[in-house]
Amino acid sequence: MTNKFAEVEISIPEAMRSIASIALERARYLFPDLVIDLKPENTHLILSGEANLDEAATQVRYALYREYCAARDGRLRQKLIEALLS
Amino acid sequence: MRHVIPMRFDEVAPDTFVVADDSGHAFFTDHDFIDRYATDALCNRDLQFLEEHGLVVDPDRRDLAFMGALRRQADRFAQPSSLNYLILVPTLRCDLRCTYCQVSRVDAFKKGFDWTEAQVAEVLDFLNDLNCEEIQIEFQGGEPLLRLDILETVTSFCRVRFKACRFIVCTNLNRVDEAILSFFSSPDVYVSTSLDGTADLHERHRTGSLEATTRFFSNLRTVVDVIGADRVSALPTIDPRDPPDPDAMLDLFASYGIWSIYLRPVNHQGFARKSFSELRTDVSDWLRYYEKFIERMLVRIAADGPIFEEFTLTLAIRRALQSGRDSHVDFRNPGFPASDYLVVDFDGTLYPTDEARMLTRSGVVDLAIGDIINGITRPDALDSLQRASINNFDPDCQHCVYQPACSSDPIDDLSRYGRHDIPRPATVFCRRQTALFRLAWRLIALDDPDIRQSVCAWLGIPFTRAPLVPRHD
Repeated sequence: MTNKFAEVEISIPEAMRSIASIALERARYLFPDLVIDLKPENTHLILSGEANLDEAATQVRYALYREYCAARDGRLRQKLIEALLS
Repeated sequence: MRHVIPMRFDEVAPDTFVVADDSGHAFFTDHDFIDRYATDALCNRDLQFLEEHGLVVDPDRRDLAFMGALRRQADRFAQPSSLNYLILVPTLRCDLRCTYCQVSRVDAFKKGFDWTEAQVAEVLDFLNDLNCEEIQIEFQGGEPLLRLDILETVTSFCRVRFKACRFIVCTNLNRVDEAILSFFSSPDVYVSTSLDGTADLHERHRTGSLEATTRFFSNLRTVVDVIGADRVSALPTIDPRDPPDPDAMLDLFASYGIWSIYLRPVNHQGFARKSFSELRTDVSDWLRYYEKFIERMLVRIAADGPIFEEFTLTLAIRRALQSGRDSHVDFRNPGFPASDYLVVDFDGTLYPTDEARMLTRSGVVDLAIGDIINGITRPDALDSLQRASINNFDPDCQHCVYQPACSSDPIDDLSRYGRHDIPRPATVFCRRQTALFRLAWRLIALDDPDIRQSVCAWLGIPFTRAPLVPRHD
């Protein structure tokens, strides 16, 4: 869908809402051609802009996933690095 | 307590994702698995698959899966070795004026741009003090064959000093005579030249006249005939706005028996900084051309043609599937600039890489780190570069499934952006590498026997139809 007046909402799973603002910042620089905002309570990311918004929404969702996985797995990743260096 | 190991992912083909841990240990999957993984909803079948592939670990008990993960991750780090690879620039003079010359060469008749006798002696002293048994030396320029006498002095010295030597002469092949052919005939000498895809492009960008073009191709034929194509490489530099036809290029290389082609876009260095300035940040034309070239190469191989390879794609596939493939300085992590390789310029100045030399000569930033007499005199500058030459802790690379096989290029970032701390996805380096690894994984995923034949050949393994990487849907 290419429509500069259209918007697409991406629901944010509850567990990911605490990192939503970080994901928002990263998504903004990963996809500079899109306008990306966050709904109150971090429940949804809102996309607009002249782009294929369905495809863009998929990519922004993956960016959200990546941010969440990195935060979720940070402690284990740290243990691996510490063990590697010990 | 057992945990699924941290993993990253990317979509390489429609509904085909590559997922890998921090060592690059990978499998393919679909969108549904990615959803389950990211939303903490893995099912028992998922967990069983991950368990079977060593991706569920107990960090507190340090179980076998955990230790295996550590070992894989450790294997992914390039190991520094002692200095054993030197790029030597005995002269900055050159007898061609290529449009995208990267090193601010000077005309062939100019004085004061060659090593003096005293500098040659200092270089030999430097070589003598190296703590290695095997040496690789790349003669760069300018045109190094303008000082064949220095090349002969250095190679003769090295053959006595070191147990094994490998010399690479990076030459424009504008002039080849009996003395040069005799020098090339030693089995430890390799020739690297430039061949810009087709004769007309080569003439437009490099030789500048039909006579010089004809001479180049004649010299290339002679060199291939005398020392064999396996000791000759010809590197095309591609203007992505006006690239050679892939088939014409493949035909040309095939006519010389050269099956390995190292495609490179015009680098943002030297004269190209001005004459190709619009390529500073735009990589889209290059990526389109690269994919088109690979597609044509694969079609020709499938039609029972010879097994060509594109050098960086082969390297990416190998690095994707195998650890320890750390020989190429642009494809290793950490990069360790100036640890096992070093550049000695025409005036005895030391640089961590050839691109650092180019950038310094262009007046962008001084990346000289010392000189041949005093050694490393700017350890702070070197330290800064070394710290930027590891990708593990970059906030963008940490999200990227290709990070373990990838690298970093702070000097290219400095060249294009004047800094090396901008977000990775905004850099030409990252966009090229990401596209390359995505293509590599897409080819690895394909079950097409024709594609698999090429991938196996590039990996150096016997042909197999068995999946090279497991799939879990």
